[in-house]
Amino acid sequence: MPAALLLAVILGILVKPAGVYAAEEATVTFGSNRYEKKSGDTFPVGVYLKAKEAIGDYHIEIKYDRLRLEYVKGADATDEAAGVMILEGNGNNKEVKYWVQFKAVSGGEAFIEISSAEVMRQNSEEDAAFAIAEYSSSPVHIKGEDTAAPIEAQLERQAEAFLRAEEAMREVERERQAEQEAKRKLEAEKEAKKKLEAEREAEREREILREQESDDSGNESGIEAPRQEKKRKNYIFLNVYFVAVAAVILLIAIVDVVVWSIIKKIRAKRKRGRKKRKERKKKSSASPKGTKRRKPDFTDLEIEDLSADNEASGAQFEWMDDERKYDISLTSEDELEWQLGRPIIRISDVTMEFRLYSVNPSGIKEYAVQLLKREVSYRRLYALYHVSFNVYQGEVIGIIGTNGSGKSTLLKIVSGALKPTEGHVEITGHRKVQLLTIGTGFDMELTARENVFLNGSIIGYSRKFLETHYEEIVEFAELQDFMEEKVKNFSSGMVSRLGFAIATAGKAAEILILDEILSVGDEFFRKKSLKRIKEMIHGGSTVLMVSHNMGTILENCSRCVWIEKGELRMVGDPKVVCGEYQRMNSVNSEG
Amino acid sequence: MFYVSEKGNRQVKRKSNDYNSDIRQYTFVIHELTSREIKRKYARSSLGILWSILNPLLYMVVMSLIFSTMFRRSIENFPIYFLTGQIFWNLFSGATTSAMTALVDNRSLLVKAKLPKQTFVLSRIYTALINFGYTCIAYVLMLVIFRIRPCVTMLLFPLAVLSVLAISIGVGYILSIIYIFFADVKYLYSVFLTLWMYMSALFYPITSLPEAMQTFIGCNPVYVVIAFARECVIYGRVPAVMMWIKLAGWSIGSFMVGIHFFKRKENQVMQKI
Repeated sequence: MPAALLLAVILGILVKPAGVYAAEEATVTFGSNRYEKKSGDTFPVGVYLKAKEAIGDYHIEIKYDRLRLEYVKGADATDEAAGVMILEGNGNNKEVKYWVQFKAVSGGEAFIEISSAEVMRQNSEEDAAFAIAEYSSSPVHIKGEDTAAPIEAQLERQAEAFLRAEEAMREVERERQAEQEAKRKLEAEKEAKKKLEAEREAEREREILREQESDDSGNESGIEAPRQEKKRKNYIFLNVYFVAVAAVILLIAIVDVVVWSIIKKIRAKRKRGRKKRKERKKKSSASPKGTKRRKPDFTDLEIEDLSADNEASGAQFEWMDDERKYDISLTSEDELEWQLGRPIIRISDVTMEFRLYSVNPSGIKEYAVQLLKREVSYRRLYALYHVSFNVYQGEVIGIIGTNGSGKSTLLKIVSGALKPTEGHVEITGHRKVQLLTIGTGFDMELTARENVFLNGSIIGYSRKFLETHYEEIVEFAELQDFMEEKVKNFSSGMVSRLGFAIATAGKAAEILILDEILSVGDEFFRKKSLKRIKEMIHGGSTVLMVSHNMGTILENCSRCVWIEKGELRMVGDPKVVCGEYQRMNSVNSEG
Repeated sequence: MFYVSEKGNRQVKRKSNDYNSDIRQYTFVIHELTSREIKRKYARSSLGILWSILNPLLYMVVMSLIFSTMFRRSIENFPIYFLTGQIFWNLFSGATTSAMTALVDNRSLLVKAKLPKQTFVLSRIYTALINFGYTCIAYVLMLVIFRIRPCVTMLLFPLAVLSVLAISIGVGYILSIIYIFFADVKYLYSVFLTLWMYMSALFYPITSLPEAMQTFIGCNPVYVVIAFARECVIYGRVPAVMMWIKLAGWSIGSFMVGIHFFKRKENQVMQKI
């Protein structure tokens, strides 16, 4: 028994839930299965909600034929346009009753039906609903003219049309969607392709990088890099290189053209200036030229005569007079040429121009600005201005003039250290020209011995010559004990003695140019050096010498040249020229 | 130097003879000027010319201390790598900076002596070369110490020296002329030299730079020379064809341009000085 009981309980437990949901637990029914009414009648319809247990919340929707029936009252809510009325509320009991009133509007077959019902259990913890056993529906037969039928038909047609339209719309929509789908697919495909390509590209780059890395590491470890990579690099490099070279060449060409044009312009300007000056000069010297024609055979004597004339005319010193003298002395050059043969040195029309920049550009930028504005202004200083005279074999020419009048410049030009801006110096045949200046290229930090070689090399002696004549030089300079001393410790007299010794070492050159060389050292040494110079002169050298010592000039020179402010004043007998020079000086100092 | 061609052939013969003796004389002058420069340079120091050897060595030690760990992986033998660049750089920078002031420093000589102006510039460059010679003693010493195997390609080393000389002469000529007209170029050039030095890959491997930079530096004449020397001395390889072309192009090009420029401006110099 107990076993049977247990079984029953188990069965009950097992069956019960199934029974709860499976059994018909609630019904929603109408009061009558069929209604017979006349058009215009108002009639009630009973709606019964019955359940096995107490009913909780419920919600029932009832559909009715809105064309033939008109809702009057009794429901909790209605939607007359749709023909739906709603019954809802809380039941509390096992049964809920409703009386809903309708009015028959038109004849024909109408209907009332329960479209949905939801009934909840009362007192139930679970929110369980009753299963609805029956949705009843009851037809309503209404006598009278069926006014609703055409409307109904129309509505039906409309509904159909609507449906069809909807269907069509749906069709269109579907088509559109299909199209979009297709498009999307296409795009997706494209994107996919792109992605693929990008990936491939990335892969390639990675590979290149890897290769380069391996390349680098290969280089470092001394392994040859892949040839192709090298070729590519070389190719790129070649291109870059050629472009760079082309650019540089172009730049150089442009710069050249610009510089050339600027130089041309400057030259043209200078020429114009010179022409003007020359014209002026010609005008002023026109009258003396006339005298030149009248007196074709001047001699040295006549120059003296002329200077005597000048003395007679007094101490006045005018430029016109001077101009005349200058011209006359030139004529005498022709005479000298006739007497002494070809000149050894022919100085013709030599002009030396120095530029003193008045606005010294302090930097490249400023210079560039000035260059662009053409404002690089400088003062022209003519150290020599159209100087011409000749020197003949065996002459000793003294050159005099006040300080800064261009004497030394002239010597430098004759020696070839300077190149004249205009005109030229001819030296007949190839003769050795030696410019003797004292202390050229002496370096105070070096010893006397080293200086002999340095200075000698600069003056133009060969190493052999210096080596053979070294003792002689030292002896003449009387510096036997000081040769390994640094020159900076020497007295100025010692330095100039050494300089003189080097300068006059060995055989004299054919043309000797002495720049203030005789005013050196003490009285004793001066005599010694003078003796040496005289030896050289007697040895047949042609000498050009500059000195401020009139005594030296008068004593040694066969002719004298006076240069004043870069212009040739006078050439002729030393006595005459020196006399004039001293007179001018005295006039200047007086006036 | 002023001839009148009197008797044709004899004159010409004489001329060429004179020309030869002139050249001999000028080389003698350059030699004397150079020995003066060197004597003066070390006149007051007690170690004297030894500094020419010591200086690059000390530099090498300093740079190796600083950079060798940094480039340990990419440069095999940093001290030698650096020293090779350093000696060439010193030759170039020393030659050009001293050549720049050559004309102005020797102003008095220039005006008085009958010498071609090139002599002074060349003597400065020769001085730098002599200095380089002493430095090479240190270099050879280091090569032995670091056990660089002697090989045939080392015979190409003088070529690198020659081309650096040609470049220096070209640059020196141009600078010496410019310096007369604006002294400021001295300061500008020293700054420019610093830039140039960093562009010459003295103490870093060129491969550590971006590719564009590498091609740019590849055009730098000093770098080309240095790379050439490294190839033939350290790595024992014959340099690539491109390197030869660049080397020849730069040295001949700058030499010709320098000479042309100098000749053109020579006379203006005399007016300005």
